[in-house]
Amino acid sequence: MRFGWLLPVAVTVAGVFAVAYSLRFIHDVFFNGEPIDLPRTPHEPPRWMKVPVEILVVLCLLVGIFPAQTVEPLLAVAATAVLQGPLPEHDLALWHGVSPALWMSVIALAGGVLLYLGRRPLYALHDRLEGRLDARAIFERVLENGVLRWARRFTAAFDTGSLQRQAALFIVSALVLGGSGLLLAPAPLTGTRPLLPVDGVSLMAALALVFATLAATALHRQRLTALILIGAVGLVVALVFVKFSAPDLALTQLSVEVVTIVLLLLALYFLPQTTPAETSESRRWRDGAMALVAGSGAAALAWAVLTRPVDSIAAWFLANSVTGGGGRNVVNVILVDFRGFDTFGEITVLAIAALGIFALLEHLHLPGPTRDFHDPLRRAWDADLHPVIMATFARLLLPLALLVSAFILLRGHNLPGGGFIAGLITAIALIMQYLANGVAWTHARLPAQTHPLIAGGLLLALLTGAASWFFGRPFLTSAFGHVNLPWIGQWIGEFELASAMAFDLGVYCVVVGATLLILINLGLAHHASHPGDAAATEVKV
Amino acid sequence: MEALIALAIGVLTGCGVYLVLRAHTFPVVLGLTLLSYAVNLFLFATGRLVIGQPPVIGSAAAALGQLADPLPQALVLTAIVIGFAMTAFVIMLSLRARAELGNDHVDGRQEGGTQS
Amino acid sequence: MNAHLAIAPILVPFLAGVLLLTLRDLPMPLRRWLALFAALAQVGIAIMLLAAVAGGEILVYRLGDWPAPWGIVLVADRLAAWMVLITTLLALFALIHASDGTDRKGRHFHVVFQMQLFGLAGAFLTGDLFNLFVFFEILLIASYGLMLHGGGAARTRAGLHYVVLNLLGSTVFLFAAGLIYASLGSLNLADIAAKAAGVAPENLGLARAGGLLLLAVFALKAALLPLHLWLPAAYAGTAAPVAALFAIMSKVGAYAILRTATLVFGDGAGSLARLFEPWLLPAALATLAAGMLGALAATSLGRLAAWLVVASVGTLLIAFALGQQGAVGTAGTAGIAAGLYYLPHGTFATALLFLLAEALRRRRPASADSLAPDADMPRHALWGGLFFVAAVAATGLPPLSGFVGKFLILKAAAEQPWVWAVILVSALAGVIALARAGTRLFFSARSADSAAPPLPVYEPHSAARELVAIGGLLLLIFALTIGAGAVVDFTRATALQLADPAAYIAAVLGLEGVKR
Repeated sequence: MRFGWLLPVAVTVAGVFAVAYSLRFIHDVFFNGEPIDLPRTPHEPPRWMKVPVEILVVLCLLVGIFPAQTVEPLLAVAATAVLQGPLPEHDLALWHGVSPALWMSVIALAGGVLLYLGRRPLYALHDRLEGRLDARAIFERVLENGVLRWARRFTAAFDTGSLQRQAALFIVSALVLGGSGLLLAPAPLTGTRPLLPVDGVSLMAALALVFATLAATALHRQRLTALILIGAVGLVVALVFVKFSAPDLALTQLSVEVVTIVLLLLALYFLPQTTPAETSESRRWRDGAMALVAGSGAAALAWAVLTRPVDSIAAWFLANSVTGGGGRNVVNVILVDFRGFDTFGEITVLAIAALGIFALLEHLHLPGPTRDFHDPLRRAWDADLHPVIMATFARLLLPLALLVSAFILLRGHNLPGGGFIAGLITAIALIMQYLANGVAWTHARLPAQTHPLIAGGLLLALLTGAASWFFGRPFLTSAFGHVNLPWIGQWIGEFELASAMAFDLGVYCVVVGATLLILINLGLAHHASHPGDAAATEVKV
Repeated sequence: MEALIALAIGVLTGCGVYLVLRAHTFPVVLGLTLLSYAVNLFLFATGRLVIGQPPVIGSAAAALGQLADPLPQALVLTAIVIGFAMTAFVIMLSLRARAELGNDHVDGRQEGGTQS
Repeated sequence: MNAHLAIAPILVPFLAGVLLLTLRDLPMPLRRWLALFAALAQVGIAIMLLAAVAGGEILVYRLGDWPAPWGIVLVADRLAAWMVLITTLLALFALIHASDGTDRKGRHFHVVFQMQLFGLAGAFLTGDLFNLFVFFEILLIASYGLMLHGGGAARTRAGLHYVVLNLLGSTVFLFAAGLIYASLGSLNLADIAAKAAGVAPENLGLARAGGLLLLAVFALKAALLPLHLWLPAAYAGTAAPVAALFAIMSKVGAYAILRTATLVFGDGAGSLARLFEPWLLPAALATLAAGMLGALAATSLGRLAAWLVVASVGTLLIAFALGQQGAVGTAGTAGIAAGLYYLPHGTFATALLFLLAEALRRRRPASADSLAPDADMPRHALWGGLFFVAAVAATGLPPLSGFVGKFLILKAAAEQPWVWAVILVSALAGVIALARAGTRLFFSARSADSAAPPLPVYEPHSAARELVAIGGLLLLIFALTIGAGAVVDFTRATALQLADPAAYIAAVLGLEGVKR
């Protein structure tokens, strides 16, 4: 402790001043003649005003004379709490013998007396500085004009409330962090795994994907065009999944794609059709550079991953799917059994998103175009609200689509399919009715609220998971067996029944409920904004 | 083949990043969609590329070792559905923002500002 | 019951949420009671869980009865149980405050609130990287719902920014998880940790990139500089009880950083060891400084509290970063132990300020919570006194727990003048900011000769629930202060457990030596 002497010195100096002002107080009040310049005539205080003072005086005397018996225990508790350890050796007493502490007291006393004796020059100094050296004014000035102004300027410079800046900062941070991880590595980027040969169809598909993505970006200000191009990109992504042995993913991607594009089309109906040219040339270059770095980084990472040999925990899933999970479609068994908890969380996300959207759209008046509106591109609205062929066709298709989704739901455990895909197909089939027949027609025939479906699905998933508790197993433990029904068994034969199927049914319910809730309420929001124009939404799509 | 997939992921990521940095909600949503395609493909790629061997036991494939890695596929499926929920939410939020802020700028500003 | 203790903090809020959704047509008071009962039950379960792991046991819950690393596991160690307890306590008082009318301002408040707790508990307890992603998404989608609850232009704008940024964050999270799976071949955190030391040299770059991308995502959630700009607008813009609950949200990012830094990228990780070290301390110091500058510049109490959240995350991560330096068992664990003591304090103190800002907004119709003088509120002295205590807590002045926390962090940062300087100067800045706010709000009542006549003062129907929530948070801070010795013993034990992840890994992978 190089500055160990500082504290005693400071204490002594403070003591000097304390003695001086105490002397002034005592001397001026009691021994310096009659008081002068009093605003009022003082009088003796009532009894109860003096009692608190007297208590304090007694306390001061007690603490000062018998410190070990009065404050020591309190101080010890407080100091222990702060130090978090044993207290250093200490001893509180009035008289310690001749020690440095005694000399400090002597210096303080003597210094204080001397200071008080020489008070007149100090008063004079004060009088001269009066007004020029107002501590409060100095403090305020330093604070307001210095610290606070600087803090405001600094904060305002960073915190402009711009999303673009925040997004750019995050992207740059991710690029710097990820890049520093990758670039400091010793190994070459390309690994040793043998590459698959390129065939013509794949090359065409890849080029189509790249072209459509670039075109969507270049033409993003024409929103409908960009949206159609993005839809095409999504289809090619589904084809990639087909090509590389992921039929479940392809089906999911395809059905999610359809719902997303329908949603975006509905949304576009309420938004401007074009994006104004809002950004300056320099910003476009800056963003382009960031996009280039991010794109090459992602491509490099993907290339490095794809060219390295696999060494993962995957083989276990393939080996245990039939014996442990009772299903031959390993992806589905992972989803509803091995990693069923992920799925449990995921349907919750979907359910909360639907509820959140429901809350967002409530009481919302969307400024959509009216029937006789012409958009900036002068595209006229189709006068035929519900083309007869489409309406009839959609109605005919509904039972078939429901049948297909039931089929896909049931076979999911063994063949590509499952609750998600089935749920999305059902939802699409029902949305088709809205698109083709209008809100009024469909609404009269379907329950208005899909909340019970969502809640029921979540509850079913929870109960399926908790059922295993009664067998002394952890949450979501599955059971399966082969069932041969006595009556109808002769037609359909023995079939497998897994508890995971009940879980998958819960998934199905949540997907149908959430998707319908989202899309129907968007349609209803428009209905609420334009009561006389209920069907315009469907026309556009 | 691997190079094509890496190229696709790179282009999707780059274009997604560019669109996300635009100043209006609709391009931002499109950018997020492209980014989710990119990351789904990337996650899928961590199982490496296998042709014609879907992870369904008892199908044509002979030995287990040849089947595609099912785990990344399951992860991508989860990611697709979560991504769908999030995309739907951000689309609706952008509609709400349009209604409450009067325009579709991401910061709710009136048109005309060119600096940011 | 004990067999399922590790999953109970996750399933109870889920069940409550689903029940509240099913019973959405019940009268509001009944739903409030149900939600409150669920919140109380969660506190009870969290206490039981903490008691079960306080001795050093690590509870592993194998979902679906599948062995790790193939199935998903929940892991309850001291750190996870501590985070769950802090969350449930905070949630209880936020919920009581929300029952004072906030929950009527939009649909499904209580459902989404319980789902938020479901997501938080899952994020703290899961032992699987991809499952962590899923729970992050749950707590995010729920937080979007809560944040936008009630609507309004400012809220919608801040919400849009928050949602878009977090969607970008989720994308990066998936890239990171993919890289980790591609290079280390697993998703189970313990398995990843076990494999990290033996990572093949050719996969090292991918693993490092994956780990650092994870850091980017967690830093975004934690609002670490330069990724902190979303927080002030989002927290200051949303409803007060939601902002109070969100005080724990940024700590989720800090938790994830601490968990991955000690478990996966700890000293045993070979060439991946201490991956975060070069980045964490500078960013944390800058975050604390930026947070305090923001607090000085703030013009309303809500915004000031939001900036103090940024500052408290900075302080917390300084402590955790100190844990990344220094040898295991000495300075390192001291830093983490100090941080884990400071964490609940910072969370409760900032939550308290959000609730006080709301009290001002309700009682000062003209000036709301902006730092401008206004007419005296009803029960002016009471609110002034509460603000004073909250300010003492938030700035870390003695005698409250913030002082103990900061003192411990300074002690852990011995010999590091930069850390001392930043913490002490920003503590001074915090005192100035809150003292100035207090003076303006409570001691400079509008002068009598002011031109405008004072507006009629609005006193809400009853301040009971507000006062219960605020008083409850104050009591928690007092408890942290009085019980400082016991709490610090616990956080020290927690830090030691984190410093040696072998027991965690063994417990999850079912190896020998489950108990330490």
